[in-house]
Amino acid sequence: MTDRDHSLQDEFDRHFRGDGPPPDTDDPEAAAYEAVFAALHEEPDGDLSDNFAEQVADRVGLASNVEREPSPALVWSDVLLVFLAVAALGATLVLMPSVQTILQETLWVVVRSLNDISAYVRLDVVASIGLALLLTLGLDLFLRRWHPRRRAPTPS
Amino acid sequence: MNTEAETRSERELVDQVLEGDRDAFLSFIDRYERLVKHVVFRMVDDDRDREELCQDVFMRAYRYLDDFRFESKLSTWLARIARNTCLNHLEKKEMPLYADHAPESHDDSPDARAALNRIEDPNEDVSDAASDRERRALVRKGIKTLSEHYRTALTLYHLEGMSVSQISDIMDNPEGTVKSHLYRGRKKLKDWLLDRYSPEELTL
Repeated sequence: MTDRDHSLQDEFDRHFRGDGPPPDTDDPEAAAYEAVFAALHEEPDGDLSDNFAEQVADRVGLASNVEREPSPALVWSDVLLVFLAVAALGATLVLMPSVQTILQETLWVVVRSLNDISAYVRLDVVASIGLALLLTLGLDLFLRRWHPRRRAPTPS
Repeated sequence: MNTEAETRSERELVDQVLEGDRDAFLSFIDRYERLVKHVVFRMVDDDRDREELCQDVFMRAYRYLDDFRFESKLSTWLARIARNTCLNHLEKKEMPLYADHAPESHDDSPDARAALNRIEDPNEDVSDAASDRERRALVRKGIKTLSEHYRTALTLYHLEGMSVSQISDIMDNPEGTVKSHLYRGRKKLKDWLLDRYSPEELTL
């Protein structure tokens, strides 16, 4: 790399960026550099297909905006489903003999089961491990939420 | 550096894309299609792979868009994804990345054929000056013989008008190295041309 190369490249660079006059191309080196700079500013051969963007959107599974708008029929069917769910819940509560009795029986079964298990297993140890796991999961979620990755993806 | 308006507009577009707005994603592709095409088409010679790779770049961008923190321009981030996608592809195909090599595919444009015929025909009249188009076609062929880092630096600098600092971010190289790639790459192309044309042909 000679000084001549450097100065010719700088002159052509300035010229092609619209910041200087065209350099003299009387000698072969300058003429060659002129062709090099001109070619480097040319678009590469070939084109992408006309519906390139649509194809990519389809591949990532993005529905069109029109499709994403919920139709009125869909909205009404959702309302109906919610209404039916509320009605079913209400009917269950009304028809049940006694919610308190059921809760008491369930609680009794759970307490008795725990009592049986405690004969074989140290429940305090199990509870401590469970708590530690829950805390770890919570911390992991917190870190993911507030300290996400900041690097651009690199191919795997 | 990012201008405030540019960042705001990029942020709005990214937010809309992340909300699943297809039209916003189409605008996103439209805005950066040229950049991605330039990087991919200059790095990969095989026509059959190019479009697929451009699609992969945008799919990857869509997948990781949530992680983009606007610490650089979106174009810098996308160019890096495009380059990494191509490097991955070229490595899989076991293409030489870091050494200059012979062109993998022929440039079949009429200008390139005319330029090559000129080289291959020793009886041709030397006084017949090479046309500008022929010379440029030959340089384009020369670009295909350059190793990857020259091609990428030259493409981003000359076709995209990116700064040395931006290119250094994209290529993960110091700015001095990028400048060296630019100078050396252009000199290699000049030498490639001088090896194939007589001084008279170039100056007439």
